Amino acid sequence: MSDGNTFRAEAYYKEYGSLVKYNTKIPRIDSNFNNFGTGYASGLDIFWTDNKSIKNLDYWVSYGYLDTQRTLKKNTIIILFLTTSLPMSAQNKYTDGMQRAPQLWGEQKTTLASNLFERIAMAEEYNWLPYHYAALVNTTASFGESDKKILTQQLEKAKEFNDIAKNLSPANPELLVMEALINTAWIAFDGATYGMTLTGKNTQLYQKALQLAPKKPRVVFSKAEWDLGSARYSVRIPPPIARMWSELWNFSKPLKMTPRFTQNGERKGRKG
Amino acid sequence: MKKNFSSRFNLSLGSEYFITDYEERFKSSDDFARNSGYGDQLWAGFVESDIFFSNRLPLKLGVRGKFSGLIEDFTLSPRPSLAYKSSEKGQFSLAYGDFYQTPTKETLRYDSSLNFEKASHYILNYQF
Repeated sequence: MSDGNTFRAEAYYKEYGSLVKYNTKIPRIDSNFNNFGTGYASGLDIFWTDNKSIKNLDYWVSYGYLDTQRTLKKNTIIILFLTTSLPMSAQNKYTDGMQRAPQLWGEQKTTLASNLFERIAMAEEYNWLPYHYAALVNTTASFGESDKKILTQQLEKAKEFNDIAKNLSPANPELLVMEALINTAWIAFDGATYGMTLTGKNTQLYQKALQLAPKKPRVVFSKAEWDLGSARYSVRIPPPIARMWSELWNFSKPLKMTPRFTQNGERKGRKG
Repeated sequence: MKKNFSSRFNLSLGSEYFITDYEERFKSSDDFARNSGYGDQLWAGFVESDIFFSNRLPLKLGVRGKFSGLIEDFTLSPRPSLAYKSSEKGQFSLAYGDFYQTPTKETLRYDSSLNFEKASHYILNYQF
């Protein structure tokens, strides 16, 4: 600088870990926070000043190039200039798991299916769907179960998963229907004990679900079935109805779902 | 604090201590009230040394330690940097550094169980 010009070039690579992520647009009291964010920034800065080449002129030229990305909520990624294959492989793992788990379920390996959904759910920290399926697997498994210990275990697990899903996606009609289905399983098992308290609760849940999604086939069907059957739910759910439930979720075809869903679950439902 | 041991080696060190007490009280016109906030005591200390292998090749070695009472974690960040004087006016330098940062108050006020965020820098610089 002293004798007229300065040149400076700087290349850098910065790696970020343990970044804070949350599942809402802005941080809120009900947001889920974690430290699983990662990112990087790499760039080149060039700087040049000169005040001796041309008399009475002092000029500065600088150039900066930056390539950066970081994970945000739901594994969305901001990309500048460059893409990476890493998020793709994460997505494929999810897709693989989401195809394998229903397959296990179809083969009556309910515990394995439930465990796999649970593992997917853990990896997909902000996605309610795997939790929802884990709840569904456990609930349908309890249909026709006569051992109270096993049934209690299955339904409590289902409730736990569904509660996590609800926490991730509040006001989701799918999850309200799921909660009602868990209650139905209790009523079906022992109507005398659970009928009184849970029947009213279910009526409310279905009404709320119908309000949120008046045209969703699963909601409409579930509510109709409940309205028809609530009076006679002192008997066990016969196997044909249990089968019908499984078929309504129809896992015979591989799931074609991407990990990103609308928060209210409105757009994710499959037709038919 | 700084001490010169010789023309080829010196040492400096320092320490700092921050107390944070963040509190927000929210009350709407219909008397809905909600409070959020957090408190933290942050201690940090560093040791830094310049080592001159020769007039053309100095090394700066630094270490920073940090403890947060809220996060309950102690971190140690190494920060070395090496320079080489290539000509009368030109020099190269290469630096590495780990940096730990307390999460922003916007997130910490709702979830005080969060950990430090971490950055690792690799910097190559040339100037003349």
